[in-house]
Amino acid sequence: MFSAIYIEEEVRDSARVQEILTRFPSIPRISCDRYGEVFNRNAQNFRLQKEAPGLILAKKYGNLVLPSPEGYGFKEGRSYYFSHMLNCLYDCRYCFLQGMFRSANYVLFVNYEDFALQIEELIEKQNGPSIYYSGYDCDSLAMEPVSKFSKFFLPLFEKYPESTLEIRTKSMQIRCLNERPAIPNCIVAMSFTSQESSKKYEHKVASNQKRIQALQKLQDSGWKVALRFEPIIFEYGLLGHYRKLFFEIFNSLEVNQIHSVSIGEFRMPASFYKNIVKIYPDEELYAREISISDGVASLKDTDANVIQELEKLLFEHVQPEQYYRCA
Amino acid sequence: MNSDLILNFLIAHKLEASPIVTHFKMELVEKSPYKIYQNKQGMRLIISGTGYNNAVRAVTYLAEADKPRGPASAGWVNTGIAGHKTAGIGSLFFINKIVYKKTGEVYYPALNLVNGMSTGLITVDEPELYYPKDSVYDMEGAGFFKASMNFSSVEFIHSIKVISDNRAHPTQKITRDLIFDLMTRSCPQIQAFCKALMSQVMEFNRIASFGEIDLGLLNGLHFTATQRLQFQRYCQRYCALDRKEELESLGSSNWRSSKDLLNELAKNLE
Ligand code: SF4
Repeated sequence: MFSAIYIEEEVRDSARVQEILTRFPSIPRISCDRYGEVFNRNAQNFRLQKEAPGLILAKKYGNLVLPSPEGYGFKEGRSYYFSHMLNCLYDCRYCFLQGMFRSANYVLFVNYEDFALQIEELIEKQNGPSIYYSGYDCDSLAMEPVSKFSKFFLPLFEKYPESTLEIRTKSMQIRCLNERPAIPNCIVAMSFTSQESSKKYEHKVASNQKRIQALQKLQDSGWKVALRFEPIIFEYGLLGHYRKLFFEIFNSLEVNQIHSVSIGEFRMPASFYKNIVKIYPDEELYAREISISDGVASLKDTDANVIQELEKLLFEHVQPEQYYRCA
Repeated sequence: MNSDLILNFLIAHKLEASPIVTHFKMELVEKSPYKIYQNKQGMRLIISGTGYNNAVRAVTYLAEADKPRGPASAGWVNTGIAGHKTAGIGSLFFINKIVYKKTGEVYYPALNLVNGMSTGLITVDEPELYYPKDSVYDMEGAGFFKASMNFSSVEFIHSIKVISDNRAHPTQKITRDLIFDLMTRSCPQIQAFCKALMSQVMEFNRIASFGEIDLGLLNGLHFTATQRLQFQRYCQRYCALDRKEELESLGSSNWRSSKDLLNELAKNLE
């Protein structure tokens, strides 16, 4: 599963690290002082590493919970995000992580208790509801058997019904959720692109069909689910493809029980985009015309009209109150 | 230098190198300032001499000599004998961490291609007789890695060490025959690893040169360094978009200047 496990000396003896190490007795273990020695060094190649990444077990310092970027997510009070992990098991070609990090190694920050402390401090400071997004720099559930992320964080949010946890994922690792009672203030947000886009760009990810089945199971167990249609990438027949996808999804789920639905374009900081072009010069997606505005790169062929058309299609299934467009 | 070089070996001593030279059918191509051997399969070997600084200088020498062949990457492998507190004589280790004892600098070779035992390496300036830690001890690894990182991505830089001495079999017992024997027996495992590394390097170079078109063919147009890069990126984009024929047809027209050609390539992509 991993080519190596790097362990920061500081966390070596923690129970969480020891438990993870027990799972992988035959993978080489390499000690390091700080994860950056392996993760942030120069002269490494994300694309090459992605073929056999290592796992780095580390401690995160400083601000562990940060205000969400402007326009991220839905409006339910102040919003924050936190990343207990950097990088993802999956390999979506459109993923901005490829341009954000030099390394494709996975970093798992194991000091969950410090995250929890900061989340609780923030929750207690709020006068009303607040929302916490996980899965910004990773897929929250994909590594659940190793990370036990939801096992730790769900009970935390259970104590604070005013605050919401959104778990962003494309993963089938939902057993951890279905094995316990649902929490009303936790939303499992599953991302989708059209079948065609998914086949082309979402490597190592479960099919749309499987993701829909996972959402069905979650709804059946009482979990709130949300749908994230992003990134929208122009393709011939796009509207037809999404019409079909919407039909499949909304015929399989309890639509009025869906927490929220969003659509988002393909966008990323121009600097990330440039980094990706260097490692994927042969990738069709990055050969398309782009426009750069305020340091953000987006595709010229997937303009506001395309998004509007998709919104029209979407409103054939969901109420406008359930919808938001990602900024 | 050969333009198809894919892998560089750095080995401290001729005694350690000679089984590798024989196994990979290399021939002496340079005698001074370094002995350098090469074969027809894209492998090259330099004998660096002992120690950190000699390793740095030898890597730099090879890489500088390669500059004319352009930006293509190569794999770098440091191999040879080394010591260990307890590991058996003849054990072969892929190195997963290198510490230079003198300065504390640390390097982490990737294990993505490794199929065998891996462990840490401590590079020392004087032969280590007591092997205080459970690591491999050598005198070149850190210098080799540090210098190679200036010329290659870390995924392509590896150290493979064969144990020649331990507490029960100290350095004084190492003989010429033993070195020859240990390195000869290690050749098949080194070869298997090099095969995987070379194929990864070739794939990497194929991607790096994706969409490359010989500028010399473009009717003698003059390109500045920036225009060269722009042109290269346009070529990549046309190829990635499966529009190579358009690119070739545009490239074969008569252009007054490279600027005109670049403008047309851009316009045509809009
Ligand atoms: S699932 Fe999300 S985080 Fe993972 S590779 Fe795909 S886009 Fe990136």
